[in-house]
Amino acid sequence: MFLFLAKRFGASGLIVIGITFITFLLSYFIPADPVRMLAGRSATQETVESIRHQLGLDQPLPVQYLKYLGRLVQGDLGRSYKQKTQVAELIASRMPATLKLLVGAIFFEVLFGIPAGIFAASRRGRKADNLAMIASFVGVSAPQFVVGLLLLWVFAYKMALYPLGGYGGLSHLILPAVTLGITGGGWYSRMMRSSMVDVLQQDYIRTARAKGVRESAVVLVHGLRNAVLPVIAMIGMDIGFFMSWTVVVESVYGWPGIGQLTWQSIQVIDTPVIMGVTLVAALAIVIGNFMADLIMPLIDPRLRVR
Amino acid sequence: MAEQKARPDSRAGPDNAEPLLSLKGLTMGFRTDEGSFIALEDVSYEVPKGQTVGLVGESGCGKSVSVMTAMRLLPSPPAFIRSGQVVFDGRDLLKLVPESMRHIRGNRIGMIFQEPMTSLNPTFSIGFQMREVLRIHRSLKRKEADELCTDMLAKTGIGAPAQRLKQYPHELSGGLRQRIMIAMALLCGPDLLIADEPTTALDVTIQAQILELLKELQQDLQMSILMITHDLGVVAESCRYVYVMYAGCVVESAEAERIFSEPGHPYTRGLINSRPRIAEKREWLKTIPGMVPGPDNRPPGCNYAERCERCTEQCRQEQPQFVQYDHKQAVACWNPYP
Repeated sequence: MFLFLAKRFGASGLIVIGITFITFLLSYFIPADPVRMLAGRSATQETVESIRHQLGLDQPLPVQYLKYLGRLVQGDLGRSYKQKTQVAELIASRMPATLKLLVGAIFFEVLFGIPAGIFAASRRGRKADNLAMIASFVGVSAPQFVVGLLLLWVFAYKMALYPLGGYGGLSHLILPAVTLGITGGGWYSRMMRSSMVDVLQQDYIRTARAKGVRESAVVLVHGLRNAVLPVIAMIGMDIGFFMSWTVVVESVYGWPGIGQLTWQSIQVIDTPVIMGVTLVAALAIVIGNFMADLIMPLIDPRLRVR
Repeated sequence: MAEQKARPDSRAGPDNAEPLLSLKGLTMGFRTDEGSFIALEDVSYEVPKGQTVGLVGESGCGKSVSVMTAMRLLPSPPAFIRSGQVVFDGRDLLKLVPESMRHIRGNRIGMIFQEPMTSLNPTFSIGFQMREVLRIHRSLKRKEADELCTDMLAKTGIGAPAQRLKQYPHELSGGLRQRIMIAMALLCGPDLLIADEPTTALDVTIQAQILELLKELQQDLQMSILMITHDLGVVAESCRYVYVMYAGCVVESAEAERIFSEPGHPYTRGLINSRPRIAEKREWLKTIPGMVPGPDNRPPGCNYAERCERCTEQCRQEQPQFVQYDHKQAVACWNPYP
């Protein structure tokens, strides 16, 4: 078990180093000269050159990369060109909102998606299955801003059950989280259904039935424990995607998360912030996958040996 | 077949002993998108109390489907039953409510399957899967259940049974897994064990051990066994009475020694002749030409007509009736071997 953890951890570390290299190259290939943006339009050629020298941007690429790594290790993600604050602080201030939304959204995705998928699989080919899959198809294909605005209009404007957007406690969280739950839950239900359909055809399911196991337990105990693995892997991936996937919902509800920060900084080509956010999103994917890797062996003993 | 000595006791015939399980004229099929087809046609067989009965035939002839139907383990749709009864201990299983059927499965009728490698749930320990049977059918405390499981594992010849309970299927060999399946099927002391090709997926040496084990356990526990197999060696080894199935129909039934000494149906004879024998030096094994007709293109007459060496015009036109020779043998053929 320790060896397994060590291997996983080492692999994650290698991936993180790869990611830093890619984000670094990203800054290099963005078609905007950061020095020009800092110096302003009327700056003389000499001012531009001196700023370029100050920022170290006149040095060869490998040197710049190593210096960038050195700063990263100290937690320094650079300064925002526009907001004149540390990128790390900027991201840290947005993190709580994003994490809240992430937990809320995954909660609703799982709440909607997993039961629907199990239900559809256990009634495969019948009306209930078709209905559940139509519903999930609507969820998958509905644009987030449409679902978001619709929920906002019905539950916040007409019925006045929840606030009309903005950041705050649970009442503020519910509508954006449900919006993501509806649009993302469709994917979960499809994955859960196909995985469960596959598992329910296995020989050990026949054995369970031949033992006299109640049909509900056949599906929820014998089936689910085997079928849930790909869904857990998907939740792991989702943790990462949520850093960037929530842009639309955050704008609809005025939710000050990482998504909005990303969107704003892309609009003004604030390269250090873009780099920082990209790095954080990539890290989140690695962390999410790592967590899924830790949980899956608890469910499937065959994964414990390797 | 030197070891096939005539057994002194001839109560083996299905009409001589009280049947525990009897299928009576079971006709069923499947509905698919391309239309429905009949898989079993008027299938009848009996398993007397305390005896081993064989069900033989090539793959796809309906052996497994007949027991899966009897145990109501086929999802419906697509499966449907047109007519017939499955009488077990005086009750028609096809008429039971699902809850009563559930109390028969694993309790009064145990089942083991062809695929020991995949028949155990990979995510639960052996102990969980065995205790589950006792939890469903007997209300035992965990400790009592554990003891019973260990005893049963020991009875099936598994070493260190207490440790096995903590292990997972992937840590065990195929032979061990099949023994565990057997132990699990016998935990509640069933009246009938349905063994669906229990040795097909195992090594030859393990096959013999498993058959021997089943024989011992049967005498020990006084149960009936319905042995489904395509291997006539298994029949010779363990069965007293045999039903031969072909393309969804029973074509011959006879005492085991009669099947080998005087097979009546050309198909039965074909099966026996295609067994490898060491005494005769032959380059090639004899085979039956052709293939089993699929359930969707069965001929109007005898299903075996196309492959039969004794086929006549009548065989192609009319379905043969089942003819009882004596209490030891019955054949469905227009032109059987004398």
